[in-house]
Formats: sequence, structure tokens, C-alpha cells
Amino acid sequence: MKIAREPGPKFAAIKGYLVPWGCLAPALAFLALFTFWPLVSTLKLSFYQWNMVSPTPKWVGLTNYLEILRSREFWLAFWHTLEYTLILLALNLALPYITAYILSHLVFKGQNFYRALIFLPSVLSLAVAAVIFLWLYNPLAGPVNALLRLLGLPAPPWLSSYRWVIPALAVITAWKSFGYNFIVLLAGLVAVPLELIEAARLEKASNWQIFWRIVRPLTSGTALYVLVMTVIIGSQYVFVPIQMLTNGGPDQASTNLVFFIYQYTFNFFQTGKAAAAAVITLIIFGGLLFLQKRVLEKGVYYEN
Amino acid sequence: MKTKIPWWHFPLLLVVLGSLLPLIWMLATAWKTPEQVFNASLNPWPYPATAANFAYVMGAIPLGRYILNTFIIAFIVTAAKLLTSILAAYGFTQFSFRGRETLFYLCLLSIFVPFTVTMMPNYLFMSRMGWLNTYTGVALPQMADALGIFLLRQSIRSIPPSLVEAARLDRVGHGRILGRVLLPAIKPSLIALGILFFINTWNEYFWPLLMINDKSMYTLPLALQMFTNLEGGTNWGAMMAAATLASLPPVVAYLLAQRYVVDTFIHSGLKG
Amino acid sequence: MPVIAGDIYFDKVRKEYGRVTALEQLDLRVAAGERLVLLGPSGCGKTTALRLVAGLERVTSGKLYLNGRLANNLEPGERDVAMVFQNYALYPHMTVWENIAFGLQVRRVAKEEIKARIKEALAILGLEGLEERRPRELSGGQRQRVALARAIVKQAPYFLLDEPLSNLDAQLRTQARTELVRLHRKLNSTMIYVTHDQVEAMTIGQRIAILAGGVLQQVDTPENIYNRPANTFVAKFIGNPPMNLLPGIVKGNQLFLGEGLKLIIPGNWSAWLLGKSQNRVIMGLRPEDVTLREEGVAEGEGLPVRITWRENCGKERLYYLAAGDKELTASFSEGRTEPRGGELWLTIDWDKVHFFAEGDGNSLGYPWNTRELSLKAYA
Repeated sequence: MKIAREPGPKFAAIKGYLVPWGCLAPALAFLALFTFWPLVSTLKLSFYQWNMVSPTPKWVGLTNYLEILRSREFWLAFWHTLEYTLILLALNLALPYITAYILSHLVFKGQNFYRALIFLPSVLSLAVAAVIFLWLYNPLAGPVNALLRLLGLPAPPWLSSYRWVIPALAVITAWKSFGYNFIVLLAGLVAVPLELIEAARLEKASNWQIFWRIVRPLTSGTALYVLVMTVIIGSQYVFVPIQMLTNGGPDQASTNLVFFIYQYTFNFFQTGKAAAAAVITLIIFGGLLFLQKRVLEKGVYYEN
Repeated sequence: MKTKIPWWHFPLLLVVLGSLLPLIWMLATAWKTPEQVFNASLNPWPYPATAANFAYVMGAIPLGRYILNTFIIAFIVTAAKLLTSILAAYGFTQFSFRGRETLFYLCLLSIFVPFTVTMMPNYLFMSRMGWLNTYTGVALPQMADALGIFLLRQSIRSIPPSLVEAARLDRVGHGRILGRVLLPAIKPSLIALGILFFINTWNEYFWPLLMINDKSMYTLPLALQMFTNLEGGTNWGAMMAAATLASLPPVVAYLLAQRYVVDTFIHSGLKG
Repeated sequence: MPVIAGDIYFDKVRKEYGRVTALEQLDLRVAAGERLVLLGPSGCGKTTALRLVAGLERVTSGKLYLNGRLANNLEPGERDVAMVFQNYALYPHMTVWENIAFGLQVRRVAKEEIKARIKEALAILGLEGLEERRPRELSGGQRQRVALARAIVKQAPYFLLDEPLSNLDAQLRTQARTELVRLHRKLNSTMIYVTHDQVEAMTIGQRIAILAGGVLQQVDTPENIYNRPANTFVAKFIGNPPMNLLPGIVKGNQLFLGEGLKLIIPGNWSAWLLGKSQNRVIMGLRPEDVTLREEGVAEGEGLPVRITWRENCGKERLYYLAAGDKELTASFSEGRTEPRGGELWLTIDWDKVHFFAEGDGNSLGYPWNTRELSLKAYA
């Protein structure tokens, strides 16, 4: 005899699906609609010629890809992207990694003070960062050049110099992203059991040996994440100062792939070419990540 | 006694200095007269200080309107992201079904899809729907966030399962388990994530740039760009004042909840 | 691979963490080649003392000498100590071989030498064939032995162990205890072993130092710690079930333990106690040193008790007793006839009684002829 009225087994089975999928549906729908579908859509667009206005796109096969791969602008943007990325890897992976190591394992006071202040710039907008640095870099009266002149050093016009424009723009992005990467790396570093470090200290291992042979392998999962984000998000972040301060100039000396795609889409209305460039970018990133993963996999240690 | 500890503070202080100097110069320049700006750009202490730059910015652009625009968008996006992330994290932790892990990693994969690949179709979609120059257009594509799902999933997993199991034995419904048991337990993570979402949306530049060209719909970063072009790189005091005003809300939000934000990252065990 | 051991000397060593005092003026000498156990409840300062020797903590005041050399400011790496951590602290990303080799590589020991030493350590600890495994692919016992191997290849004069057996199950622990003692005999280094487990302490230590609340309570051989506890803390901490402690008042040759609880003190003890300045004492009786009788005894020869609870632990039986308002335990090994319920008499063997001063709990000592036990072990 049943005391309480139970819903039938069939209803229970349906309900069993309803709740979990109901929970997942909103997030999955948004991600599918605005991340994964556009991915497919861009791929499709890359085989068409279209100016966003004409009613029907025209199928052109691989023409967009071929033209892009033959264009000087694309390769210029490609090499610049590489240059930006290398600078960002130094300033937004290596430097915060070491800073976080010092803070987590070599210094025992003022942890909160350092964390709070180092994270501060990363809550600012890249637009704000760009405007601040536009002033700092000002060739005539800007503080950077005023200081350089005071020290008797050459004071180049940062943003209009072929040689300096990329490092100058990269520094803006690096300044804004440093704190975030620092905190993420710090989170990985403080999770390394203190006993392991102590065991190494008993062996007379130097701080550098402890970092390189124990801490780094044990936090390589976190580092890999920061590396991937620096490569992908970094070139996206650099876009803001490029667009705001130099517009790719002087004479395309500061373009990168993201800016290139943006220009082709919204300035030149060559949607197909832009899509092709986006797909190529994705393939390059994907290939790069695959390579890195292969190379790093041996050294990467996952806790689980 | 040999003391070696203080030495390591030196590189850290250098990093702090590097982080703060640009901000210090922004603040200093914002309070300077044009003469002070040009003649004493290295002096970090404006004396006598002037508020004229701030007054000028307020007069030149409808700052109130921009703050409102930015706030509305940031608020909608933050609320939506939190809601979808909470629900998804609940779904990914409290039920087991075939393909759950695959689906979760598929979600995570979205973090690594570059914006350049998605911006064009999304722009076309919004334009076709007639949502250019609207809050909807800016907010809609950002309403789910894989990082949020990931972090909340981590937080929920760190709660002892017996808490939820005890509630289950008492036949507590899903809504109450979520509202009365899980959410209170992960409150610090929620606050931190909320602040992070808010700050990031507040600061967003690229997507609003594509969505909005009607000046009355500008967000603060776009307004700052417009103001910079307007002043043509001469009126530095006013530009720094505008930058200061645009940064004030996120900085205040961060300072108020600084411990939450930083601690959540430290304890979430964010790993690749 | 015997090593040349060094001695360790704590001279009024004190350690504070902020306002918390972890160790209050520790005076302790550990002889070269000795096996000393630091024993105490958690938070007593035993691990702190060990970490001070390793250099992982700095002495707040006082002096720490290693082999006659002042070591207060020596870096951990300069102290030549080998240490086994409670959780073993094996590097999870390295194989067994790499784990053991790491310290030697850092010290730039020649490759051939490293190989030879690791081979020997692996053989001693029975780890051959596991060289290429990572820690997570090992059982608890194997990990513990890898940690030992890593410590012994160093051939350091000091060998520190911080609760190395606490993560093993009971059976392995018993086996590991004997292995550790054998290993130490081979190495001959000065060993400090930290534990909260009295059985480990009694079986491993040549001497035991008992700490409580950052204060050294007693240092002595296991026999003396058990038979001549220096104070009520040691008396209660060592022995299972713990010693019964009964406060009472000495009047002449009579001991009053409470309402209707009176004992006549034999001559040697009463003369001994008479010489003490106070008459308020605590009598200590180990549960295994008392006898239960069914037939009545003369007044002052025993205490009237009732059994409130019995436990059969297999090899022994425990009786929880009530004597007036006092509670006691008594234990008897298997084979004796089970006493009936109701009124019983508890008699004591005066050769196995302990007396402590009521205020500070310190031992009042023993009359010269109570026991043969001497302080021979200290020699």
C-alpha cells in the first residue's frame, strides 16, 4: 500500500531530464548562439565574397584565402602579432610568474598589500589605459620623455616611431593585464605544499633551483592557462590601443591580425576576406596551442 | 642576526611602482592647470590644484548619460551571467548524465574562441534584428560566461556533499537546495564573480565599439575615445580628468570588495 | 653507509610565533648517534623543536648548537640534516629515482656517486624496481620508504623524522617501527623522532623527551618514563589505560582519599612522605598494578569499590570502578577469574605506587628501597 501519492515512473523519468537540462539550457543556448554558431558562420563566410550590403553573397571558393595569403598587409599583421605576443609573454607571463613566486615563497610580510596594489590596474578599462599612456608617451611634454631628457637619454616619439610603436602599445596592454595574470599565477603558486619547498631548502637548493625544478613543474597547469590566454586574449587586448592611438600606423607599423580583420570588416567591407583571415588566425592559434601542448605536455603536471 | 627577508621586497616594490605610477600621473595631471601640465609634467603633486578639468569634462560631454548607459549594460550583463552560471554550475554538479563532462569541456572551449571569429556574424545578427545602438545588442551575446561556470562549479564542488545529501533525504526541492544550501555557502565566490563581471563589462571597448555609433548610446570607454579625438591631444588635464571619472566606479567597487576578489582567485584553484 | 654523527644541544631555546609561545626555554642535549623521541600531544612544541634543528624556523632566543657549532643563523641547507616529513613531501612530478637524486644533484655530487648511493638506499629499503614510478603510483608504505631513502642517501649526521608513520595503517606501522630502528643502527646518525604516539615512542626511543604546552616535562629512558614519571602529566600521558590519580591528605601513617577511603601507609613510604613539606598529595596507581578482592580486608588495607562498567579487550579486561565519589580503572590480563558484582576490595602493591605534590603535580620521589630501578640508562 502506498501512503503518499507518488508520481508515476514515466513522469519521474521525464522530470529527471527536465531539471538538469533546464539548468544547463540558458548557458548552453547563449554559448551556442553567440560563440559556436558564429564560429561556423565565419567559416562559411570565408568562402564567399560579400560587402554586407548586397542581398546575396557570392561563392568564391578559396579565393579569399589565396588573396589574403598573398597580401603584404596580412603578413605584416602576422609578424606584428608575433612580436606583440612575444613581448606580452615576457611581461605578462614570465614577469608575473616570478613576481608571484617572490611574493608567495620568499616574502612573509605585506602579502595583502602587494596583492591589492598589483591587481589594481587590471580593474581599469583598456581605453583608460590607452589614454593615460597617450599622455605618458607624449613626445613633447609627456613624463616619460621628460624623464629621459632629464637623464640625458634619447627620447623617441614612441607612437609614431616604426621601431618603438609595437613595444609601446604592448606595454599599455601588459600594464593593464599584469595584475590579473599575477593573481591567477599566485593562486597556483600558493597551492604548492610548503613541505615540498622546505624539503628542497634542506638540500641547499637555491631559490632559483626551487622555482625552476619544483615550483614551475608543479604549477605548469596554471602557467599553461595563462600562456594560452596571453596568446589569444593578448592580441585582442592590443587591438584597443591600436585602434584608439595609432589606427595601425605609422604606415601599418602597428597593425596586428585582430586589427587587420577589424579593418577588412568594418572599414573596407570585405567580409569574406576578413572571415578568411579570422579562420587563418584561428588555425594559427590552434596550431600554436597544439604545438605548445605537445612540447609542454611532458613537463606539465596536473594534480588530478 | 642575518636578515635576508627585506631584500626580496625590493623587486616587489618595483612592480607595485610600475603598477601605480601611471595612475598617479593620471590623478596628478587631472588636477593641474595647462601650464603645470606642460612645464612640470614630472611633478606628481599639483599645486595649487584645480578642479577646472573636471568641470570642463562635465560641460563638454553628457557624462551622466554615459554613466547611465554603461551602468545599465554592466548591470544586465552581470545579472544574466551570474544567473546562467549558477544554473549551469548546479546542473553540472548535482546531476549525472551521459556526456556531462564532454559538455562541460565544450563550454570551457568557448573561452578559447577568439573574438575576431565571432564578431562578424554576431554583428550581422544584431544588425538584422535591428538591435544596433541598443542595450540588447551590447548585452545579449555576453549573457553566458564559461569562466563563471567553471569557477562556480569549483566552489560548489568544495562544499561537503553531505550538506546537499541531507537536504535530499528531507525531500527538499531543487530550488530550495540551491537557494538555501548552496548559494549561501558560495556567497564569497558569487560576490567576487559578480564584481569581476561588472568591472569587465564596465570596461568593455571592442564589442560596444561595433554595436554603437549613436553618440547618445555611448558607454564610458567609447566616450573617452571620442573625447580624446575631440581634444586632439592637447588638453591633457581634461583628458586625464575624464579617464579618472571613467575609472572611478570599477576602482571603488574593487577596493570595497578587494579581499573577496583576490581571495576567490586564490582559493578557486584556477588551473588550466 | 654509517655516517659520523653529531650532537645537538638546545641551550635555553625559546620560540615564539608573534604572541604565541611554541617553545618555552628548552634545555636538552641529544648525544651523537642517539635515538631520541620527542613525544607530546598536538601543539606541544615537538614539531617546532624539530624544525628549529632543521633550520626551517628561527630560534627566538637562546642558543642551538649542532656538533658544538652555534647554529642559530645557519640556513637549512647549511646544517647537513636529513628530514622525513609527516606527509613525506615527495615531489609529485618526479619519479622515485629523481626524488632521491634531487638533493644530491643540487649539491653537485658526482653522477657515479649518486648512482651508487641510490642503489644502496633502494636495496636497504626494498624499493628496487620502483625507480621509475611517481609518488602517486606508490602505496603509503612505499612512499614512506622513498622518503626514508631520500633522507639516508644524504648521509647526514642528523636524521629528523616528523611523525613519519602517522599516515600508515596500524599493521604497517608496527612493521615500520622495527625497520626504522634497524635502519638507524646501520646509519648511526643522531636521530630525533617526533610523535604523539606513546607506543612508537617507547619502542623507538633510546630516550624520550616529553613536551607539553611548550615545556619539557621529562627526558629519560622509556623504562624510567614509565616507572618513574616526573609529574602527573607524564604519569597520565604514558600508559594505557592512563594512571589513576587520587588526591588525598597524609596524616601520620594514614592516607585519606575521601569519605570512608583510608589507607595505612607502610613504613618506608610514610617516613619518605613525612620528610616532604606538604601533606596534600596525589596518589598515582596504574590500572595494571591494583588487585580486586572479593573477601573483605582489614581497615586501611584496601579501598571498598563497586564495578560500574566492564570492557573485554581480548588480551586484557578493564573494570571501571567507583570508590565513594572517586572513579578508577583497573585492568587484568586474561586468565583470572571474573570478579562478581557488588562490593569488592581494591588492594594496592606499595612497591608500585607513585606520589605527586598536589599543587605543581611534580613527583615526590620514591623511598630508596622501593625498587631496584636505577638511573642506569642515563649513563
